[in-house]
Amino acid sequence: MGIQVTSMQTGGVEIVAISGKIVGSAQSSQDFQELFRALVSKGKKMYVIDLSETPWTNSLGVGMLMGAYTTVKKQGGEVVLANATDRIRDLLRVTRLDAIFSVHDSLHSAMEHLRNNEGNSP
Amino acid sequence: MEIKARTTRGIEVVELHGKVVGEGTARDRFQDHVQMQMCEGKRKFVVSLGDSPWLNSLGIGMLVAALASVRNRGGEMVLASATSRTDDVLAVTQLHRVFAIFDTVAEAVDYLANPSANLPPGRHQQKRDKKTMK
Repeated sequence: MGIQVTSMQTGGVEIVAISGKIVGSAQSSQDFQELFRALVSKGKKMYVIDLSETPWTNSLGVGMLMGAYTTVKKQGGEVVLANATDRIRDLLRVTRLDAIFSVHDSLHSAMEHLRNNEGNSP
Repeated sequence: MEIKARTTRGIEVVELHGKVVGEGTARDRFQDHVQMQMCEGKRKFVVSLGDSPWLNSLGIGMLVAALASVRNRGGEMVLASATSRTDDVLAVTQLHRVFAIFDTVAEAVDYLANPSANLPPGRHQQKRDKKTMK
């Protein structure tokens, strides 16, 4: 996949950690998508994508994240980002995706946000 | 998915035909087309979705990846002619806060051709589809 993806559940929130540069190759995008589809089909609603081990991403990587975001939102769930580097935050700002992606400085803050907003998703 | 493109008033109009499912080949062709146009100096793009009955999450990823490339180079990409089904997906994902969406390609071209729409972040006008949302 080019990147390592691990997921674990804690406190009702699914934490999906990515390590490595997210360059969004076609295969990794589809694999990432499949992972989210599988999690969503199990009824999981709240997700944090942990980017602490991800130094940067490119436009295709952003598309990969948006694909997962779409899968979750369509099922009434919520996904937020945690521990994004300044470089990734800059890309989200330039693309204005920061208008829809909630980005947090820590896992703790991301999880708090999800719990506080539980049930408010469309 | 088939891609048809033309240039109008210096703006690249990219029509997507067929379901936008964003699998590897389609995504790469779309991305390559946009990159090639940017290499030729184009920075303003309209993506017409009128002949795309629907798009899935990978299709959204495909559009956002292209949008990221374009905005990263100081350009802009807007959407036009979305079907009501596509518009529903854009609404659920709140992508209307990211993309400007126009009812017609002509309106989208007018918007981008207007020099005052030279698109610093935040100068982002939106026109929502008039079709009834479910």
